[in-house]
Amino acid sequence: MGDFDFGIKGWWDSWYKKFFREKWPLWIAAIFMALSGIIAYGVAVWSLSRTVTGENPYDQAKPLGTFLGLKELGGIINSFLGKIGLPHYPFNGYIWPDGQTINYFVQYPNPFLEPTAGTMLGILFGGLIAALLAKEFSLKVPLDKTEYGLALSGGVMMGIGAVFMFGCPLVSTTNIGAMGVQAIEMVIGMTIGSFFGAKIIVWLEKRRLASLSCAADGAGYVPLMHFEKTKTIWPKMPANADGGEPFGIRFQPVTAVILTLIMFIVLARFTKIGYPALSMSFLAATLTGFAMQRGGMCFAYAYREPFLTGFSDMSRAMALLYALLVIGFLPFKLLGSVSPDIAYAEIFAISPAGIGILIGSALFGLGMALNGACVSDSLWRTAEGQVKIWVGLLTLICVSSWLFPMREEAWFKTIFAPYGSKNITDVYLPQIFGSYPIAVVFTISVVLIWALVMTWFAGRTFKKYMEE
Amino acid sequence: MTTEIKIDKVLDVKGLVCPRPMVMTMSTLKSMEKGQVLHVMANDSSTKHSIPALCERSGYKLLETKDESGSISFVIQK
Repeated sequence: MGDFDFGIKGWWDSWYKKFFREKWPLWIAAIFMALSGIIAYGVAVWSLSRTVTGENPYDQAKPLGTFLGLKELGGIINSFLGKIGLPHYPFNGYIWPDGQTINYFVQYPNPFLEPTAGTMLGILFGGLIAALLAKEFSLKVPLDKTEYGLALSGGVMMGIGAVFMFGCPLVSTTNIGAMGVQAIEMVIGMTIGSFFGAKIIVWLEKRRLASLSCAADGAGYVPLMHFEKTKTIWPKMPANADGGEPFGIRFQPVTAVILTLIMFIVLARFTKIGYPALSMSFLAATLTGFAMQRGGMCFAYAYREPFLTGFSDMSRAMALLYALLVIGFLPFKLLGSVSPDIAYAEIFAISPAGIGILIGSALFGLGMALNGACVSDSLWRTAEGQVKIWVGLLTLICVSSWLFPMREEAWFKTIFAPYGSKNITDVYLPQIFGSYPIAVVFTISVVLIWALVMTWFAGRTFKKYMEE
Repeated sequence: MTTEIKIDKVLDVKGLVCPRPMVMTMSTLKSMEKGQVLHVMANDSSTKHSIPALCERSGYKLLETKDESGSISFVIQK
């Protein structure tokens, strides 16, 4: 091509590097996440209208959230435990409140048709595509026992916490946009839990640091001490820097393109056989996973870092995401409020509130601080090949799935989530205030105050670090 | 490039997942004298964002960054 390429190759290389290799600014990733969250909400409203007209009842999309899907897949593990005679909770499929506005929730013939399971897989897939395009995928197995200890303990806490809080941080994000009381409880609880999680991490690391840092020989690069704390089992790295890029790394972007093409073919097929809403919902989740991996968007980081390292940039990016969702969901909610057939669209993602949400989210916050990731963070980090994260995620799935039926018990609802159990609009802010504008201003104010508090804590933590 | 820089300490946090690489980098830098140089080796993608942000905010000099085949390294002068 030489002089005749008109600089196209150079333009492509620079664009590719900027979009697929370098990390995105957090605010860009937050906008992409908000966009995909709003699309998912819109698709859910559309699928609701199709259900009303009696079209395919299984093609039901839901707003973004991952917890129920994980619980559902965990149900399969739970059933298996029962079959081999181990302790388990009977898994009887879906136990959903019927007969609200319409019989919206149904028993799905396959756990993968549960819309949140699709969302979960979409985030995982989006994260994988992003990691492959950036050549960041590698199977990393930590050899450090502390990592597994943190993953297991964090996974158990998150599993219990998720059942009590009825969700995960991504659910709370959607719930903030939906203007539910539960979301405010979740944000407060996760902040408190992450505060204590950060303290535990500082204590642990102080004890371990001495064995992890070492003096170099003073002359240059060669470390005096080589401590193998991880094993990258794939791809195999060359022995020295001149060995070139391994095939397993070089081939990753092409693999991403092939997988994306396969995804579009499969989704086109699904759309043709009657699942257009689930297909679009999957695409929205893929965009979420992609944006999360590219920006490194991490709920655990947003809630923990102001207390741990003194950084609040992620907290502010999350606050931007929360605020954009409040505004973005509004047209669909107003549509639901004036269209009786799809009235349920107005209260999508709203769940009962009570002391259980606060306790559960504090426990979840503590667990995600220790594990290093929540559910959606774990999904895109799993897609990067972080085996430690797999351990935390699997633990969370098993624990939450095992405990989930407890949530349907009358005593649980009475003690832990009494508000909105009978009438969900009791915990819906526009109903509480009797006005949409006031509810919007109130919710965005709460988000803004949270961002300011996190920024203040971060400043305090960092100042202390620099002064000591 | 790296061979020309006198490294005072090496911190190998490969295999550790966020937040541990960042916490250990901060703690190690804190224990060092002003002007000393730390070489951090990591493979968690979160460090691509967090360590440059640390340098920008604290005034530490980020002398070199390498991101090759899943291995990320930073040379930081306190």
